[in-house]
Amino acid sequence: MGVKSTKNIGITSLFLALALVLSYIETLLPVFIPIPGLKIGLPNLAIIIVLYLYDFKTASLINVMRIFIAGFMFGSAFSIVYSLSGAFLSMIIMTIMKKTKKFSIVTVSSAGGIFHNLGQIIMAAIVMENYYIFTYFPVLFVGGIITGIVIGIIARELLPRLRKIIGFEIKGSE
Amino acid sequence: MKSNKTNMKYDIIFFAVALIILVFLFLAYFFMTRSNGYICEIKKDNKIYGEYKMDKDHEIDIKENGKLVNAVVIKDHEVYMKEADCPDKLCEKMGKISRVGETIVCLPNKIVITIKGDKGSDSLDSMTK
Repeated sequence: MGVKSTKNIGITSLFLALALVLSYIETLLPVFIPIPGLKIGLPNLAIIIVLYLYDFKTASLINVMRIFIAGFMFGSAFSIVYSLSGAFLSMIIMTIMKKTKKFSIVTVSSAGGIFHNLGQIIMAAIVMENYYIFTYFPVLFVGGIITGIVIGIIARELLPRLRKIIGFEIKGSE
Repeated sequence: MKSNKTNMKYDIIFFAVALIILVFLFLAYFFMTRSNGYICEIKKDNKIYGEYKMDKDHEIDIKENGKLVNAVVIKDHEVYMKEADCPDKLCEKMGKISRVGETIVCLPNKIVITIKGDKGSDSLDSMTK
């Protein structure tokens, strides 16, 4: 799906709004483990749903817009850079894994969590010119798997229901 | 049901591989941060702000344009971030560090505190550079 018709623009902005709300909710949650870059990754829920409902192009578009808007509203210029590298690495991995059709959405999502954290830490090491930051990676790795599984399970439950709703709306509007 | 079972196979392989990688990561982490540190290096904006010996107690105020941004404390061979002006205060919550390779990072202020050994035994440094 490219952004061509009014319906597509509507659906894209709907998911962008959802991702932004999830970004905002995430800033409200208390931090349990004080490690930089360790987050639940709630916005990833919106992104993985788009990835499954539509395609990589639509998901990237929404994710890039989400990162820039959320970065300027709740974060800093550097958080945008970290998020972008993490988001792209994780989206590429998730797209490849999804295309093989051999993995469940929960597995795809937890791989996305791991690679999001990996992308972020690589970018942080480059920006800060400090490779000691990789000592955080074991914890970020576990964090990525756990949050990825949680997001994956929610997405698995939501997807069939969303397909029903969006499918119905498309039929009704035509 | 049959297709579900074959699907599960690859998922199990994925998590098994992840678990193995995880064990190696933690092993590497424990081997790299085994020895006690001697020098605490503070970097701000990729430049060395200062190096401090850990056997003496220090309190280091990091200032930016005359405004205090971070306060680092070295006490009893341990280093911690006493104060930070950033919104999330993650670096304050990171607690105390004392072993080689351990770091405290303040992403918003671009400050990295790293513990280093004496030059001969800096194992992580020789591996990463």
